[in-house]
Parts: sequence; C-alpha cells; structure tokens
Amino acid sequence: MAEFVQLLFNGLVEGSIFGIAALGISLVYSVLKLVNFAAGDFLTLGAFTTFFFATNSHLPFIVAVLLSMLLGVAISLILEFIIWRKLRKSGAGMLALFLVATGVAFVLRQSIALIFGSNSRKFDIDQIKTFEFLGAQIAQAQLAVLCCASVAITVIALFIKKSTIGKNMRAYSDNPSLASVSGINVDRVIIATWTISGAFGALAGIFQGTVQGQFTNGMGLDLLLSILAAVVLGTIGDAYGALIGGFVLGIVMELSTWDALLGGIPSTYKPVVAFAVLVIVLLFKPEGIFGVKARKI
Amino acid sequence: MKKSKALVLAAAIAASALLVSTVPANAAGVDIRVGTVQPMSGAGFASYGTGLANAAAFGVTSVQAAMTAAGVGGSCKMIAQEDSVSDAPSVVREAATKLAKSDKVNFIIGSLTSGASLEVGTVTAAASGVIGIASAASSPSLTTFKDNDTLFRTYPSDLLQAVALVKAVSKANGNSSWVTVGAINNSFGTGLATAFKRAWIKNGGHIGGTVLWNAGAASYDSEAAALVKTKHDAFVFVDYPDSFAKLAPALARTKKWDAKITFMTEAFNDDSAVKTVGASLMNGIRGTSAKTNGTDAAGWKTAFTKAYPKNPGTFVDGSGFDAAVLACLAGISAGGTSSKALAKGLRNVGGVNGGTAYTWDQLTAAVKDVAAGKPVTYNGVWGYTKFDRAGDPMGGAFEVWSIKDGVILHDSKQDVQF
Repeated sequence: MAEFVQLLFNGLVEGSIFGIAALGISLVYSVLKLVNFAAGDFLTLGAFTTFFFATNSHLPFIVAVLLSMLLGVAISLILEFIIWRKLRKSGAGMLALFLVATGVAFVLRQSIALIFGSNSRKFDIDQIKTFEFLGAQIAQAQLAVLCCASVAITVIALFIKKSTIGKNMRAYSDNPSLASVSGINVDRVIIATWTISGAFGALAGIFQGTVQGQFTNGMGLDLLLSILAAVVLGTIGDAYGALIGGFVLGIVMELSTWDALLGGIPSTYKPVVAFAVLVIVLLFKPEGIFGVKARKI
Repeated sequence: MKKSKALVLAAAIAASALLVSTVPANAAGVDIRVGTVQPMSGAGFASYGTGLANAAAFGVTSVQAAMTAAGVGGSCKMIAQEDSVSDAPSVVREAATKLAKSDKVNFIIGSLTSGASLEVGTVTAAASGVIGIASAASSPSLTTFKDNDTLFRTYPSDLLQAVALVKAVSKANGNSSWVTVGAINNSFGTGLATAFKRAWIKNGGHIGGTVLWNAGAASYDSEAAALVKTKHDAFVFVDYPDSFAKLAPALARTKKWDAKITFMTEAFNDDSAVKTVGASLMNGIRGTSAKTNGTDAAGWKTAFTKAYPKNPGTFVDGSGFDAAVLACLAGISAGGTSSKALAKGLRNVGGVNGGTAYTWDQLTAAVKDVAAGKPVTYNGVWGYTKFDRAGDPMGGAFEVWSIKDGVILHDSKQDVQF
C-alpha cells in the first residue's frame, strides 16, 4: 500500500508538470496549427530565469516566478511578431513551421547557455523535508508543486471555459474562417494563446526545477518527448485533454515500476512504457483518449 | 692503387653508415596533425573537457618545441579543438568526422566519456590514417570495441577500478557483505557496474540488487525506492554529478539511505562535484578514483597552470597531456601516417620498452632518441602507458577518497597499484 501511494503521488506530481507544459503546446496547435518544438526550451528558460531572479537578484521566490512567467510571455510574443505572424501571412506550410520551430528551439537553448552558462543550477528549496502519509514519504516541495499546479490547471480551465477571450479561442480553433467573419478579434486570440503558452511553459520548467532539485540547460529537451506524448494522448489540439494526458502519462510511468504489477519494470524503461501506452491508445482511439471525435478547446 | 681505392670505398661506406645511424629516422620530417574533441561547454563535463583539451594542446606545443630544439624534422601541430557540448553522441561523431576528413588529423584526442569515445572509435575505425586516444574513458567496452586497432586510451580500464572498489568495500564491510549496485544507464555505468559485480562475487560477496537510471529522467523517486528496498550492507553507485544531484535528494527522501555506506567513483573526486550534489548529501560517501602515478606531476601542474592560467583544473588533466605527447612521439617513431604505423608507433613509445626513460620535461632528449629509432620509455605525468593489444594501458593506480563536511580526503595507505 505504502509503495502504491508513493508511486501514485510521484506520478501525480510529474503528471501535473507534463500537463501544464502540454497545455501550451496543445493550445498553440489548436489555434495556430503549429507544433511548437521550442516549447521544451521555455521550460528551461523559466527555471534558469527564476534562479537568476531569486538567487542572483535576491528577489522573493514568488516574485522571481512571476517575472519568469512574464519573460516567457514576452519572448513568446516577440517570436509571434517577428517570426510566426510573417510566416502565416506568407502561407508557410506545416513542414516549414516545424523546421522554423526546431530552429527557434536551438537558438533559445544556445542563448540560455550563452547567458546563464553551462553549469547546473538548483533552487534554494529544501528537497529532503518530508512527512509520512499512509506509509509513503511525501516531500513538501513536491506537494507544494502539486497544489500550485492544481490551482493553475483549475484557473486556466475556467479561463478557457468562461472568459470571453477563452470562448473566442475555442471558436477560432473550431472554425477560424467563421470566427473571423463573426467579428472575433483574431489577433487578440493569437496573443492570448501565446501568452498562456509562454507563461505555462515557464511555470512547468519552474515546477520541474523545484521537484528535481537540480536542472541543466538540457532539461526542457529531456522532457519534450514525454510532453508531446501527453499532448497526443489527450487528443492533439484539446487543451483539457492535454492536462489529463499529462496526468495519465505521469501516473502510468511511475506505477509501471510497481512490484505488484507483474514484478514491475526497471525504471530505465519508464519512457518506453509511456510510448507503448500512447501507441496502444492511438491504435484503438486515433483521436486520443477523449471521445470518438477530436474535441477542440 | 687498387688497395687505396678499396680503402676509400670502405671508408665512404663506413662514414655513410655512421651518418645514417646518427641522422634521425624522421629526418625527412613527418608532419603530425592532432585534434581534440572534448566537452568544453554544456552541462556536467565542461571543466573536465576544457582541462583535457588545454592539456592536450600543451602536450603538442611541448613536443613541437622539443622537436625544434632537437633539430628533428617534421612537426606536431594542434590543428583543431572541437567542442562536443556535454559529449552528446551525435555532436561527437560529427566533430570526429570533421577532424578526420576535413582537418585530416592523424590523432584525435578524446572524448571525455566512454560512450563519446566509442563514437570517436567508430570514426577512426572507418577512416584511414587516424588514431583515437581517449584520455578519460574507462568503460571496459572500449577494450572489446571493434576499432581495427585505431582506438587507444591513457586512462585505466574500469576492470581495474572494479578491483580497487572491491578492496575498498571489503575493507569497510567485509568480504561476504551484501552490496546493491546502482548505475547510470550508459556504457560507463553499466560497464563498471558489471565489472564490479563480477569482481565482488568472485571475492565472496553478494549482490542485493542492481538498479539503472537514465540521465535525463523526469524524476528519480522510483529509482531511489528500488535501491533502498534491496538487501544491502553497502551501495556502490556509478554516476555523474549532474544526475546524482537529482538522485541523491530522492534517496534522502526515502529515509532509508545512508551516505556513509555508499561508495562511488572518480567523477565525485572533485570539489565541483561535491558542490553540485551538495556537501550535506555527500557527507560520508567514499569512493575510488584513478590517480596519477606519473613523474613530477606537481612540477608539470605548475608549468601547465602558468601556460593556461584560466584552466579549470581537474585530477585527470595529466592524462590529456600524456595522450598528446604519446601521439606526437608515436608519429615521429612511425615515420609515416598509416593507421598501422601510428598504432605501432604508440606501442613503441608508450610504457616500459627497455629504452631510456624520459619525463615530461625531458622531451628534447626523448624526441631525439625516438627520431633516431632508439627505444624509449615515456614516463608521463599521468603515469607510464604501456599499451596492450586492445590499446588499453596495462597498469594504473587508484586511490580511496572520502568526503567529510564538504572536503575530499585521500588515504594514501589504501592506494591500489596495478
């Protein structure tokens, strides 16, 4: 029981991070039809800038987090104005957008290395402090991340569902042409999409840096495949699905090592399990795990 | 008259023979081109990679200066120094290919890690007239790698380190104790873990379990849980600082891990590693590490620091210097640039060959003797390197270290010499 609780908790923590990062990718895809391969590097950016603001500039951690999210938003918007908008106007196809996104990822990664150096970093947060719950050791830092992530997920889910701009985003992703002629301000929708993507990308990186204890400038790239798997698992283009896909992936990866499940698998194969689940789900439900038809945000 | 003609002829032949014997074999002058591929940037290895690259450059310039002073023809030059950025396999392969094909080097010194060095070996095995010399790779997989005798190393194999680890764990816990082995999932980690387990069982010990982990894993909690639930009197971990910095907090969170019964390897015999992981988590950890057993290593370090004042400085820098010196001396000895000749040259100048022994500051005399075809023994900064058939050094020295309150302590009484 204790082992199950421990693995479930670990899976929830990791899944919440996957989900938050996957949300931005899914949202951008649903609105702009762009698979943002640079999203992983926004995680790295968030973690490194938070470290800079908190440790080098001695700002309170929460202020450092907010500033990093703002920086993530700013860079997302700058990229929208200098690259993505022009590419859309020139009618660039999926392949061109994919290649440019890959190039942006390289530039971001190298810029982070150039500015912050190549050494690993860690937040000044106690990684060791735990309390016991049903025999499992629950780390306070991980619990804090899970709580904050849950709040962030709830807020963004409500925002997309209830706010005008959220409704406009859903309308635009369902039918861009109809949304445009019905008076929806498309530019506002796109700016809102990049704002959420940039902020949540940075936030996911900060959470990952917090639970991991140590991070390098390869952190985002290391997580990118799992995050993309969460996006596809939860139905590509479905923001809510991406969040759930993240949780499912995190829990499945951790529970796959449980002894009670046919002895468990060696932990080195956790990513393999994640992709095996993805393949199996897609074989039976090509639209992802949520419904017969692909839902849009 | 005929007699005097014969005398003149005999004198001429004798003079020619004398001249030939004193003129260096390399009088025609072979130009030896050396390149390095090391992780000089990126996470984890930059200080090691930069140090090894600088040391190799220092080695090449030292031999070139000696050649000039000795009047030996030809040259030994550092052509290019490639950055493998954290030793990413694709980057290493690309850099080694560039060095071999575009820069047309004869020797590639590097890379740092075992997996990356195997990438270099893949390139040298397929190229013509290029030899790789790994200066810090320790995995046994380099020994068995099919490299057409083009991959050498100056750093001792983990088959030797495994024995040193067995001695250290035995001394602390007894021969028949239970050990759980954890390792990073790459050729270095799995190679040393396997070698240790074999040596430990042969020594009468028991293995409680084996757990591997991936370098870029999203979390390490399940790995930590798997490690602590095994039957164990001690742990042996084979890892790098950046990944252990993520595993160590997860181990501590289980409340079932004791650093004082944990043994590790050379990557942690460095102040920066203690800082990366955290002194409190490393407190009490012991380990083994290859150590320099060369001649006048302290004097060399002073000269190296003077030449490269910004060098980060790690314990293994001397191995990079020796690799470069051996490459240049081998080139002079070979008198040609085919892979076969260069490999033969390395075996001629490395290790105890019965000839005069020379140290790092006696390179002028060494170069002169090598060029004259005389056997020499290069007693390097890192140690003497007698290459076996697989290109591995046949000996090595290891030390036992421990960490107390963030300070690395060395116990020379426990040194192991092979």
